[in-house]
Amino acid sequence: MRKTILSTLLALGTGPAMAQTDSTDTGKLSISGYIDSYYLTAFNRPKSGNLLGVDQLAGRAFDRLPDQFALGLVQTKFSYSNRKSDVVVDLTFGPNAEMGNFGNTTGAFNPYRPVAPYSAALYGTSAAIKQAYFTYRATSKLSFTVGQFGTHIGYEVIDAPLNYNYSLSNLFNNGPFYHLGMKAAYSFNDRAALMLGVVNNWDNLTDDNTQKSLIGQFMVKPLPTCTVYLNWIGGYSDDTYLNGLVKAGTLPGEFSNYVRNLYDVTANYQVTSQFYLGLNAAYGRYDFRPGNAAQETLYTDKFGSSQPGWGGVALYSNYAFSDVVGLGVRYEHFEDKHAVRYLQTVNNSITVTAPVTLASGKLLVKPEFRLDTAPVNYYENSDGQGQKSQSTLGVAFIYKY
Amino acid sequence: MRALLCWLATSWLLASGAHGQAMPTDERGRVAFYEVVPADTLPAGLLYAHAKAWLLRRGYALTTTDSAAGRLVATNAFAVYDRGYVTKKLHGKMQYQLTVDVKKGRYRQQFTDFVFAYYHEDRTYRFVPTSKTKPLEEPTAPGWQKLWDGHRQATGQAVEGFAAELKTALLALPKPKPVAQQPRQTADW
Repeated sequence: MRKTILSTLLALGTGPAMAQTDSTDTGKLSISGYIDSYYLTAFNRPKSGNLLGVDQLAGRAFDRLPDQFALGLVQTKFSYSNRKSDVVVDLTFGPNAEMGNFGNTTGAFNPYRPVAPYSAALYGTSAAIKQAYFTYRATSKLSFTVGQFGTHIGYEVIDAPLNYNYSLSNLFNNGPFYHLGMKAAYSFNDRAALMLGVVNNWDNLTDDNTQKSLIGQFMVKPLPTCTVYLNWIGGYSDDTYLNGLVKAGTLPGEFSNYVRNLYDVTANYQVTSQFYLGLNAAYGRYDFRPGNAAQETLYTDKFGSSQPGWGGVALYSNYAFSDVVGLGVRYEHFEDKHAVRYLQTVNNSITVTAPVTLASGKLLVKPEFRLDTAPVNYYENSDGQGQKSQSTLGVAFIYKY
Repeated sequence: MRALLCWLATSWLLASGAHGQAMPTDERGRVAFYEVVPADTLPAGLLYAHAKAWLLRRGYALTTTDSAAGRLVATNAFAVYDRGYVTKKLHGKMQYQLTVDVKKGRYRQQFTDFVFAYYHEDRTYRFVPTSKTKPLEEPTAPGWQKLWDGHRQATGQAVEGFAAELKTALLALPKPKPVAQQPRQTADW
């Protein structure tokens, strides 16, 4: 009996890849995931031992620890799919799993987010849920999704295997990570689709007020090898952090009277079978509503404008020398002059990544160099003083199954 | 000692053969599966109709339909998978062309133009094509040789399956028309 069971399990795990005659067959139950870790060194030798900058404000998000081996994230994703529906349960553990639930965790892994008065504290097992949603396909063109799902905004994602560069961009770090809500998607044809939804604002497992945010995405494929996404999220008084400061009395009540919108364009173009280009550009803005000159002054004193904005652009280029070795360069320009996001400065960065793919695509080894520059002394040196640039060299190890 | 050497030599030869297994090719060196199948009593028109019906039923994209010449050309693709430890994952799709030529009493099938289309997971973990392709003729795949060998083997198995289905469909005899029942003649009419 034992031999039979063992033989069966071995056959399931080691059998050759089988061809399927049904081109829509993606399997019923799927279990997948990954682990990632990294080692990098920062040439500015920050005294604090992390890459959050001289003010310990923000900076790098998912790769903050230099000169040590660091575990990123452990993911196990369960998905079940049939003709009419899917369900996805995406569980993550580890230091970056806490980051993935940004806005809901408290404590040592979220030092730049105040514990109080932030009332959306996360308890226990909720921290492990990166995504948990189901999709119902009402028709072949129309589907509905409800639950917690990754954001549609931006080019990069939390999941290391899905990004070419290991170190995440400022556009990603300063945008939403996920949403909890409901959305509907309609495919006009293979080349155009529309998504609309309503969610608990940005990164909110629990909503801090009765206001919701609306989300939207329009996808268009001008060429079979080129896809463009136009993304948006907007809502009234939807910044939980800002609202928390108001509730705590740190900021006056006028600072909860605003509409925030984030517009984002993401495009990818497979120029040749080896050469790939990507683009991400975003612009976000708070529209405070001054009722009088005094309120106008209030906003201007705090943010420099009653309509403070932020934004940036990132260009990606990848070249695959072979199925094993590639080279990618990312250039990003990001501005947060009004200090409405986490970076609170202007940043230019260039990231060079040379991924090596091993073990039939299971193991990704990513040597990477990144240079960041700012017009102010944003980065930390070995004396704990600020300097205008930071460069890091490291390698990431990602195993996916 | 001799036995050991023989065993080692055999193992090495077998291993070499498994690496980049040979596939049938045409005069251009492209992978092609070719067969002429006898269909003794069936006219070309019927074979053509059966072939076209089967191609449409199986989701092929017809690119040539020439009933006068008795030729059908269509394209399709089938999924090939990565070995999953618990469940399999889509690795890509093998695209190919099928040409069916019919004559009275026989037909010819040609599976050609095999190209592996890479797929990857997008940000929502859906498998989507990458636009990158690899001809099936390439025997090597650095970094994923074993998986590529598996895809080549799977292609051969798939073509066998398609050919068998096609044969069944083409050689299906038309059902005889039911004879109209004559009313019983009775004296009392």
